[in-house]
Amino acid sequence: MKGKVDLKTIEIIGAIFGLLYLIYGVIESLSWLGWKIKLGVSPTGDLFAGLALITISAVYLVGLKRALENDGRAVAYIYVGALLGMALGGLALLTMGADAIETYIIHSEDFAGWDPLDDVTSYLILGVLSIFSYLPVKDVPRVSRE
Amino acid sequence: MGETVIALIGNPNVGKTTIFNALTGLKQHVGNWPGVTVEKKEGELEYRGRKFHVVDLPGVYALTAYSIDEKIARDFIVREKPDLVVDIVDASNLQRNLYLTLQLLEIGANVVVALNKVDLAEEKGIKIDPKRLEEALGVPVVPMVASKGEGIEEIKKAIAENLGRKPKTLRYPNFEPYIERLVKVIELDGKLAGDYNPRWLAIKLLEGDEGIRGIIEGSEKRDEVMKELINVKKELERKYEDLELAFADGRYGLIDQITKRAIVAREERMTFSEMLDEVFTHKYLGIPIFIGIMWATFKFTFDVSAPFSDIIDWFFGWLGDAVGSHIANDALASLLRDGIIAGLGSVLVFLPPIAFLFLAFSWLEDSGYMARAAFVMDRVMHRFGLHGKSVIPMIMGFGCNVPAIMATRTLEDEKDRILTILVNPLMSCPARLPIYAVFAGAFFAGKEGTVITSMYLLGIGLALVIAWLFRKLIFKGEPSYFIMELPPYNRPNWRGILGATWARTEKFLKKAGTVIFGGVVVVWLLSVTGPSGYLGSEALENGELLVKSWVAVLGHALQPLFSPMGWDWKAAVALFFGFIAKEIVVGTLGVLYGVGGEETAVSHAIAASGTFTPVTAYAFMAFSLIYVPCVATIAVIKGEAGWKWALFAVAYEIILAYLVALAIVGIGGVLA
Repeated sequence: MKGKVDLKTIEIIGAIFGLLYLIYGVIESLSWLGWKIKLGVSPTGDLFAGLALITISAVYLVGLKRALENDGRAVAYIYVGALLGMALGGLALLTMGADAIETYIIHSEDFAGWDPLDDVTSYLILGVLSIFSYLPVKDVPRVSRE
Repeated sequence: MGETVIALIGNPNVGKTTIFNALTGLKQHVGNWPGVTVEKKEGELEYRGRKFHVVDLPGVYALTAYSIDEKIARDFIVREKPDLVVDIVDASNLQRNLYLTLQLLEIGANVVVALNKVDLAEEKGIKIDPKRLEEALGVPVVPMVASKGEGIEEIKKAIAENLGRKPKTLRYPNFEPYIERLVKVIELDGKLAGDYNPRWLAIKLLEGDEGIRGIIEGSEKRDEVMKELINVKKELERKYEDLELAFADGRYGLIDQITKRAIVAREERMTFSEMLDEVFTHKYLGIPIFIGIMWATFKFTFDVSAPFSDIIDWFFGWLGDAVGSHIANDALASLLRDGIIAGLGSVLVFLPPIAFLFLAFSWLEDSGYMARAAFVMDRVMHRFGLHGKSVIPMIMGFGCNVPAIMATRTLEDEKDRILTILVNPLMSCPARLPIYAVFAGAFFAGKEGTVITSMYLLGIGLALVIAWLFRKLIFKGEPSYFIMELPPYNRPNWRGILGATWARTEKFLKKAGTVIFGGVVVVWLLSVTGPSGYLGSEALENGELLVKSWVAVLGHALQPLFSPMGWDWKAAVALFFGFIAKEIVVGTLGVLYGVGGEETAVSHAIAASGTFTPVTAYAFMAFSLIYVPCVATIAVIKGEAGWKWALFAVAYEIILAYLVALAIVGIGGVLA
């Protein structure tokens, strides 16, 4: 086995990231309905962003459930949850890059007054944070049972 | 053949092609097996001054001869009698792969086992001792990691050293006395016993193999063999209900013993592919993850490609002005500026999102995810009479219906394929997006996102309902079952991904350069000319002049058809030209309202015209979504399914579009 991680770590990661993604997923979904709840970052108002965050939350929480059941497959959920989270974060960075091109190179009227902070979304921050859930499981095909 | 013949055999996805290529290098050729169009690969192997003719047999799980592939593989080994058979076994899936090995040994083939993917087996926590496996099977075993070139020299050596070797006889304890009795009678026919392995003939006869019965029919000892077979079968059937099943159990029993001896360590562990599949194909998580991935794909497509579209838009605007200002002749300047350059620009502005969409899809396909998407969506699609694999062309339809319809070729069943083709145009391609953007911006300010999303959902909903209806009325019966071995996940092969992206984008470029470009020029021509002749380029900016154009004549002729929906002659003309390509609709409206092709300007002009209400605008968007997407799509339907289905698609989509638009206006009028 390349690395080792115990079920306790899986449980902690699953609980923290499951809840974080759930909170921001709900905020994004509510913002689509018109409720503007700001928790550190402004919601985008994109319903699908909310659903995607809730889905990632579900992946982490299933991992937590499996870990609590002493099932070694729990690691798969943390691994995939982290990958999905980082992928969304990467997408947010690409979008920020595209908007920067619009602003600073093309000087598009639609982007007048745009600031990079405008593109700091919940899924960008969570994507960056997901690296911390990925690192402990990246080399662990299956969790040890001790 | 007069030369040493080596056959390569193995289950699908065991690395057979990699080993074949490593053994034969570039000295190979591809043909067909006699009488069937299944690819046959042959090559030459030179080792220590000796030449071997290598034949790559189809990937099979067994030699029961139920499928063409199995029949080809079995016939080759039984009839051609290769000097040696290299059986490629996936070490990470030893149990399943050994079934074929046992069948090869039953035939009496001189087998060398290439134990491939030992690295993957170790990753899964399975450690196999090749020596112990060799002893248990009674044939040489060469451990390999063919993808890294490990074990290639060793397998060449094993081939050279094991020619002419007598294989060990496989014994099935529960059946031995019965097999022996039959073998004794079969051996009475010397020719039969010389041509075939008598033990194999006996086992196959007991399993009820029709092909082997045919061989026995030609024997001079036919009666004796058949009589003994009946006696033996009678006795065996007292013990076993199904003899074929009993032999399969016998083989698995033997495999169990072999693997117990050969596997020296087993630590339950998942591979990375298994970890991904644990979640991606999860019963409940699979579909939301799929939807999330699709959303991310579209976000990447539209948001990240936007600056590139803007650059193209800016370039063609600049080019049009530059060319127009340097040409004195008004008609020629207008043709170049307002017709050709503006027309081409209005189409090429969609090149970046389309290329980005294809890039994302090619990556998802190459990574192996798309096969999982088809798998998780199968249950949903099945409910609506579609096959799981239909989901891929349907998603591709969001990019462009033309390649999406061509992608239905992956569906084996003709009914499933035609049905998928017919509903595919209802998937909203990016060409419709400017129409939604213009009308949502004009009449649903602040709720554009919701309104545009509702169009996509309307398309998906109608596609599923229509598929269900057509399945009940035209393509009666159930969609075929989803049988597909999920390919392994791959790291991105960027050369392949970019190649596939370019090949698909090129198709759009060709379409843009021909059909769409031509259409835009025709709109220009009909707008600056009329029954009284050339009206001047001012007609594009002056409503009073435009009314005298051919395009106005056409619009007024069509307008009664659309009057129930409350649309004017300009809307009718835009929809008419939308037949050529949906990209033309906004451009046409821009020309007719005298504001050019810029979306915001068209939006303001439509809102100010007083022609549309929110309800009639929504109906216009729905009509644009549903009625025939473009000439190129009709052409590709004709190419893939024939004229009959192409005309059917055009007819049903126009009727459906009309009914849905009428319903929206009717219901919306009541609610408003």
